[in-house]
Order: sequence, then C-alpha cells, then structure tokens
Amino acid sequence: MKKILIIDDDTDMVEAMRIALEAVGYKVSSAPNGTQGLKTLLEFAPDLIILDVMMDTDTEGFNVAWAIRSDEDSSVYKKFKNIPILMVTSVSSEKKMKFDPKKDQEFLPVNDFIEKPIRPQQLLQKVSQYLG
Amino acid sequence: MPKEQFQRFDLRECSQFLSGSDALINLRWIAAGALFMASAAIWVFLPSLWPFPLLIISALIVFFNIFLIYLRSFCPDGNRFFILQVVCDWIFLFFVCFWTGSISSPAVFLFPIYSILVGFFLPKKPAYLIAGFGSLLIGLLSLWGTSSPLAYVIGQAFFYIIVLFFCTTIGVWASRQLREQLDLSDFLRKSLEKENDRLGQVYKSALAMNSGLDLPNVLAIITKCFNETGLSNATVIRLLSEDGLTLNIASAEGISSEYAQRGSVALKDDEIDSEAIKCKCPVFVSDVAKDERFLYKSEAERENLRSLLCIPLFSNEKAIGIIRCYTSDYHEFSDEDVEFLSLLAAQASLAISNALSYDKMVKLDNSRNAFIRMATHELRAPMAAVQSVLQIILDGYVGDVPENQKQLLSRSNDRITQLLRLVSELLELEKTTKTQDSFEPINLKELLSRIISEIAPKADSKKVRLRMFTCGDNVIIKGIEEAIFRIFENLVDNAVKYTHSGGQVTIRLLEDDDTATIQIVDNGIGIPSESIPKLFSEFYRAPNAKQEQVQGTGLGLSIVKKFVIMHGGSISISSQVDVGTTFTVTLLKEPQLTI
Repeated sequence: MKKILIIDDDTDMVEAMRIALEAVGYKVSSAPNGTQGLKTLLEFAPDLIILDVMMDTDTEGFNVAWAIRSDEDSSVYKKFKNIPILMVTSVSSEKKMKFDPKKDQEFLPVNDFIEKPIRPQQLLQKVSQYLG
Repeated sequence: MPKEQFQRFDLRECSQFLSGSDALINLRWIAAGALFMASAAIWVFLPSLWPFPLLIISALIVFFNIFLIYLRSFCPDGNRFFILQVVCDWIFLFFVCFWTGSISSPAVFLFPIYSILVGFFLPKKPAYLIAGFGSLLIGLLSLWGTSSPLAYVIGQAFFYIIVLFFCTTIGVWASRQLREQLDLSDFLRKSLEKENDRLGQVYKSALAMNSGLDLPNVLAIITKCFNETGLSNATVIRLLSEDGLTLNIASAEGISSEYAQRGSVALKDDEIDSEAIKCKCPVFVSDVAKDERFLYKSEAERENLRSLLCIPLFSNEKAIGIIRCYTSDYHEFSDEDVEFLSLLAAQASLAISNALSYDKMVKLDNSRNAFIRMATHELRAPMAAVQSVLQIILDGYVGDVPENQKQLLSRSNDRITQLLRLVSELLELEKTTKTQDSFEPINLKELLSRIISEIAPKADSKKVRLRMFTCGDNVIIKGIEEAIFRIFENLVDNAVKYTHSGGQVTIRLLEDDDTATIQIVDNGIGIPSESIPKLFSEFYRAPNAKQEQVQGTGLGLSIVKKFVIMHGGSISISSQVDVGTTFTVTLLKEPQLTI
C-alpha cells in the first residue's frame, strides 16, 4: 500500500484530499506546517508528498521542498531526495509563477502542480501518474 | 557659457599693458623707425638736404633704447623704471634741442607732448615732479645757447612751461578717468562673475537635488551641495517629525558621525531652530560657544564649529525641517551669502518634500500590496476548501448522493465558483493601479492566438466559430503582458459567452505607424443602446445579458477599461440588439504609463 503525506495548514482541504485518496486505497498522513511535515516525513516515510504552496508564509511550501531536495551529504532527508512532490496552488498563483513543471524541472523542487479547489479525478490521476 | 565671454574681455590684462614701461620702449622704437624713414625720404626726394643728422638721432635712439632695456633688468619696479626712462629721455631731448636751436628748436614741443604720457602713467605727485624737472630743462635751454633777445626767450620758456604743466594735468586727469572706468568695469565683472557662479551653482545643485526620489540619497546630495558652496564647512539637515514637535538629524556632512548621531531634539528646546521656523527666515549665530541658545557647546568645540546660519525648510507653507550651515572660523554671512544659501535651501525643500511624498507613496503602495496578498489568501482559501469538500461529496467519495441533493450541491458549487471569480476580479481591479510593473514588448498576434486556443474548447462546445484575421505577424506594442492578455481574454470570452450556437466571433488585428487596433466582432445578442454608456461601470450587467442566465460578475469590462486606459489606449463599442457587437481597442505602440 503506497503512502502519501499531505502538508497543508487547511484541515478541510486535507480532509477532502484524504477522503479521495483513501477511497482508492492509499495510506494518508498529514501535517499542518513545514516543521511538522518534515518530522512526519522521517517517521511515516511516504512514497509521495502533497505540499501546499503557502502555509504561514508565501515561501514555506517551497522551503520544505528545497529542504527535502537538498544536495548536502549531511541532509537527514537524503533518503527522500527524489520523492515525488505535488504542489497545491490556487490557479492564479500558478499563472503568476509562470512555471512549466516539465520544462523547469531542473530548478523547481516540485514535480507538478495541483490546482485549488481540488477536483478528485485530477488529484488521483496526478498521484497515480507519479506512483506508477 | 556667459562666463567665458567675461574672460575674453579681461580688463586687468589691458591695464597692465598700459601701465607697463613697455609703452615708452615701444614708442622709442617707433620714433627711431620714423626718423630713419624720414631720413630715407629726404635722401630720395630732397637730395639738396643733408639727412645725416636724422639718421644719427635715429641710431642714437636705438642704442639708447637697447641701453634702457638692459637697465630694466636692474629695476624691477615699473614706476621707478618709468621715471628713469623719462629722465633719461628728457635729458636726451634736452641735448637734441640744444643742438637744434635751443629754445627755438621745434623739438621743444616734444616736452609737453611727452608730459601727457607722464601724467597718464605716473601717480600724481611724481608726475608733477617730473614736470618740474622738464620746466628746469626748458629754463636751461632758454638761458643757454640762444642768441634771441632775453624777454622773447623768457616768454617762450614761460609758454612751454605752462603748456607742459597743462599737458601733465590732462594726462593725470585722463588716467584717473580711465582707471575709474577700469576699476568700475573690473568690479562689475567680478560681481557678475560671482553672481553667475552662484546661479550656476544653484542650477547645478537644483538638478542634483531633484535627480532622484530616494530620501537618504537626496539629503546626502543636499548637504554635499551646501558644503561645495564654500560658505559652509559642515552642513546638517534636521527634519521635523510628522507631528512637527521633534527635530531629527537626517543627514550631515563635514562633521563626525558621533556628532551626527546625537539623536532627536524637541523643537521647543532648540531656540535657534524654533526661531528660524517661527520667523520663516534664517537665523545667524556668530559664535556658537558664546550663544546661550546653542545646546551642544562642548561637542561643537570638539567639532571645531564656530559660526552658524540656520535656514528653515518650508514646503507649501509648512515647515519640514532646518538646514544648519556651520563654519569653522568666525564668519559673518553677508546679505548676498544668506540670500544665496536661502535660494539653495528653497531648492532643497522642494527636493526633500518630493522625496518625502514619494517615500509615503511607496509605503502606501507596499502596504496595499501586502493587504491585497493577504486578502487574496484569506478570501480564497476557505472558498477553495469548501469547493474541494463539495467536489468530494458530489463525486461520491463519501457514499452515494441522491439526485435531488446532488443538484442542490451542484448549485452551491456553481455559486462558490462565481464568488471565487468575483474575488479574483475584484483583486485584479485593485491591482490595476500598480505602477512599478515595467512595459515590455508584446507580439499581439501571438498573444491573441494564445487567447483563442484557451477559449476555443468553450467556443467549440457552444458551436460558436472563432476566427482571427491579422494584417501582419509582427505587430509589436509595449505594455504589461498580463494586463493586455486580460483585456482580450475578457473581450473574446464575453463575445463567445453572448453569442448563440451557430454564431461566430471574429478577431481583427490592424496596425498603423503609432497604433495597433484590435476588433472583436460577434453576431450575438447585442447590447441595448441605453446600456452602452453604463457598460464600463463596476457590477453593471446589461438586462439582456442577465436574462441569458450567463454567469458574469459585471466586473470584466471595468477591468478591461482600466487596463486599456493604463496603456494610454482607447476602447469603443458599437452594437445592435440581436445583430451583434463590435469592440474596438486601440493601443499605442510606445505608450507612457498612466495611472
């Protein structure tokens, strides 16, 4: 059973995603902020992370992603360096960022974006795409 | 530059030339040359006469002149050398006269003529002494070597002596007149030069002070400009706080940073500054160490500050601060100095108040942007969460939903979608006043194609034909891409929205030298003529648009209009109900940002 970690401060959003993901058989754990999220990452050892772009600050989501992707040998998240990360953004902020996750893979710490509000089919399709 | 013209007419050089002993030496060369020419002329035209004496005199003058030039190296004082020359000349002239008929010699006339030069070039006293010496020589000539009757000789000598003194007086008078004129011109030139310099300085300073809007930078330039005037060794700007009660040192040049960081002082405690602000005029303190009102005597001593001119800064009749000009020596500022520094201070006030306003504007803009960001998040987040939850229920992830409940949930979902769009558009409307976005070149055909591909699925599902005609592939305008995109996305989306199945929407792109014109033509429901004037008002929706039950916030067109105006463009509508609508947008290729 594949495990998914959701890092998002909005509990309703987490709940909606959890229901959809558990309905198709994934094991889901969640954390309300970046620090908790990184802690849970080590304990829960997920196969994929769903990360909210802005939790308390604009950049927190990205900071978490960069911490996981760190190239340093001493990094405690070394094991998860290549874990798929899906970033949840609102449509407008994704447009503003002008990122193309495929083209900008090299400098982007996340694999793909999921639009808010969540549409279950889109979510499940993207998750299964990265979990094979 | 006017200054260069002044330099071209340097009168000092002119007067130096006149008063120098060179004049006499040059005259002697001329006299020798003239005598030589005369003797040559006599030899050629009047062979009966004997030109030899003239030639001898000419040669003697040449040798005499060379001797005098040699003597000059021993006598650096111009006046003394002049007197020496005159004495030698007159002795020489005496002998010439003696040999050529004493008092009856025509050369005696040279004495009075020469005395004009003496009077002109020498100070009054030596000039008359020399004239006395000349009289003595004339007297000797009258007594010596003449055979005429005594009474006649004395009369002649008397006549020459009177003429001699008269000519000396004329010389003295002319010289004094000329010198007065020269002095006056010199004085005028100097004061004009000074004024010119100061005006130039004011102009340069005003340019420098107003070259930027960053407050610390502007203040630093101002203090530097004041120190560069040479009238202030240390310049300190103190700005009044918002409430007008405290003075804070905002910038200082020419004093130690310790002294500059003394902190703030209450305006009422500083009598000098408060007096300057109260009387709206500069206040002068000749010695800060001895003035009761000066607060930091020991520090001033350490910093070597002596005299102080304190000039208030006003903007729109409101005091904004003080400029303090300190000198390290006792210095009485002249009226002109004070006027000049006040003029500079007025320029400084302008620059400071501009920078202060800009500073406020930037802060306001920043806080508004921060608010918009916060509001975006706070408003969108709960709605996105509600919609996500609704979607989960609607898709049956928490169990089957009966059809009637599904319908109600669907309707709730639609309303939230509408609300989300309203929030986005409201925020976007807010954002249109943003100023810092820079214009970039935009290829209109490319941009319109992107919009078409975005809206095409919607048009297809409605069976509305979407076409584009362009006059060229490279119609480039300058603008904010996001805004230009929103303009046409909105207009094309509207056109598709209000066109029935089977209809068509056509986009035309035209250009001329300075503008690009884009037309969006549809054969949709049209707009009633009475609605057209209200169309760009916020939240307005035409009655037939509402009837169509098509979702809309009534904000789209007001956003469009704001963006078009921001780019200096124009937008117009022509429409007929049930026939169709044409929106025409004209955009400048090189627009100036307007807010």
